[in-house]
Amino acid sequence: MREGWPPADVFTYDPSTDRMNQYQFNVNSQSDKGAVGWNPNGTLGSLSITDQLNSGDTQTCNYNHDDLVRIASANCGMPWSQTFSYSADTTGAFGNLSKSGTSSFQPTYSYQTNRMTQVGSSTRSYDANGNALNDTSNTYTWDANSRPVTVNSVGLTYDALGRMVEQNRSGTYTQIVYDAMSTRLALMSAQSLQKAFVPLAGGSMAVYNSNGLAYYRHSDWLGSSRLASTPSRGVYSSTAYAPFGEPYASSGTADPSFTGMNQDTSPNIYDFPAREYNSIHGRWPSPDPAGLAAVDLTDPQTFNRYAYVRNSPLQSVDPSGLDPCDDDGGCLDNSDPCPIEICGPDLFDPYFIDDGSAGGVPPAGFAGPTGPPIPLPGQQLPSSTPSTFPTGPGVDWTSILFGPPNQSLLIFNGVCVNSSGAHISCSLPGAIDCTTQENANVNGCQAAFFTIPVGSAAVSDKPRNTTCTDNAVNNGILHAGIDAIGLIPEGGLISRAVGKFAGWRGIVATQQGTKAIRAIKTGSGISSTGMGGGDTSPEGKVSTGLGVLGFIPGVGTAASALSVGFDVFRTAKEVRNCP
Amino acid sequence: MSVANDIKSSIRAAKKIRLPWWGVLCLIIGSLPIYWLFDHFSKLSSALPTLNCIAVLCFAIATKWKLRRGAWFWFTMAIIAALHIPLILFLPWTARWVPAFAIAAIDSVDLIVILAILSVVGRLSEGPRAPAG
Repeated sequence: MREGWPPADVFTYDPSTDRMNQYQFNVNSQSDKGAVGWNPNGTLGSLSITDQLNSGDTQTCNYNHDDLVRIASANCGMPWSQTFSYSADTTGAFGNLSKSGTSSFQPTYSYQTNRMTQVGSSTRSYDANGNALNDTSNTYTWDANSRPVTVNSVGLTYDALGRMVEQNRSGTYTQIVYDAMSTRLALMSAQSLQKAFVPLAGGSMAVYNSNGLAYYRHSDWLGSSRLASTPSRGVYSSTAYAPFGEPYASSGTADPSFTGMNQDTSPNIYDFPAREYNSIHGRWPSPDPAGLAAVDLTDPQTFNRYAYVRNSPLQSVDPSGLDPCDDDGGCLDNSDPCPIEICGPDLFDPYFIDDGSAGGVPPAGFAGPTGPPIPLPGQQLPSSTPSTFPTGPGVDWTSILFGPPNQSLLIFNGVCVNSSGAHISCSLPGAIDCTTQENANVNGCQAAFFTIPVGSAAVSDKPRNTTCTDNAVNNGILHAGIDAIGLIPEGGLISRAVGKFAGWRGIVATQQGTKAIRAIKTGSGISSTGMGGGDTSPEGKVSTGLGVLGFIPGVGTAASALSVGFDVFRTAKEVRNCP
Repeated sequence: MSVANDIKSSIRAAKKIRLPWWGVLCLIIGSLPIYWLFDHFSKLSSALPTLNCIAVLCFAIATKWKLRRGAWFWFTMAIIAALHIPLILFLPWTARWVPAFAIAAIDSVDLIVILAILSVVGRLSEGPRAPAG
């Protein structure tokens, strides 16, 4: 699959397992390429990196795992080598991690609580809820809900949804803005943008600062950013990651993003939505809040509420900090789907147009580039793209991030909003200017990025299922229309006249009624032959139906009126029940 | 006058009755809250048969309005109405769309049966009488 923003990223996958075989980030005719080798049991066997943009990152890593699918060793030669053991509880059953090698971390654990008791000569302490108060280099305080109130003296504030929304660094405040899916979107200093993160396909990300687009993060199979490139096709940052997320072999500006999570609060601590993660320790400082509910008796690793993705970090991610997901797209506790689509092939769905069907088929009502095929990622928008894109209910798009220069648009979940948060029509008044820096693309101009209206990101608009609504309304109109024919008192007479004209022998009610009365009168009894049979053809049945309606016109009118009312009520109910 | 002729004349009289446009409008709008009520009690499938039964009974009364002074008439109508209750409760009606043609056919048959019963009961109660209208 080829991604379409500048510069181009190319991913290849194993057609049988959907696992990524290779990533390649192309920047200005150079590339950062990683060949990913998988073991038959789904663990990562090797990673061979050829990085023309950062020679220190070129390496071949071999990984071993133990029988519990925990990482046992990572050997990348000179840049990084580590062995991992889980023997702190004498049996190693519960996965209390110790590291040795390029970066060592060998604490003493309590095999009863899985807490660190000592690191070197320092004693570690926890609060009553099992949250670490200090570790090697960090101090924490926690609230009653086990959320960190301070991390290394950075004060943290949370909203009603439990999301970290403000950081206080000695009176300097940073606000955190989330999108409608509670994904971290931006860091603000009051009205000033510090950083904004716009997710792109393949787990990559466009990062903006107060001056506009700053750089693109290019992500590997876990969503970790291994390369960040500027819009002018330069290298902003390049790094490699150890299995548990320690960055190394870095060049450029440090910009660690492990599995898509940032270190916005404190160095070496990644901010996961629900918990903080210490990559040096390779574990969470706070236990899984699910408690015993997190335990799977068939998997002893789940007893350790501090362990990160059950010590299987090269093929699993934890998008929320609560629930690991592996590479087949499912959560390890089998609670599919994942909280967010970060794991598995869904991660790499095209973002250009995602209407739920494959191949970038436009959604109903799409008035964009006409005629198939709609440009797919990597393809150039046709010059005749004076497009208006459908907005509002029912437009099932993940995100579409293109627009003309000088126009501020953000399409999020099918909703276009302007910088004031108001819903607007998304339009492209002309072809994208591919000569501008933002739109430049080695392989053609496909995606144009623009100023992000960060303030509008909080706009939440549940897309409405227009298919359901349309079907309900259309059926309602059809049914009410048919029933309304009966409101014509002489509909039966009309039908009989039509029937006679067409030569149908419909069992029109007057004929039938007359014959029935005659049969009763003569005492011959009512039978199908005695009644004269009738035309059982479709036309005859239609004639019969209309004729019956006209048999007693008042009754037909009343029945039709009640039916029309019923149609209206049922349609309204169905529309209301549409998702 | 025979029973057959009596039924025939009743049907002829019934065919002359028309609903005014405002009556149709009232039926459409007025039925909506009743449907809501049935839906509220999870009996939406019975709503249409119930209202149609009421409509047919009203239509029968209107057709035979000249008999209103006979106690037997109201007694018979009450019994007929009571007989409709198990039809509504125990037949498997549906909340899905049924064409008004089909409903009108059922209503017409129902009305004819009611008129026939009234004719028979009327003859038994009052003896033979002159043809109507």
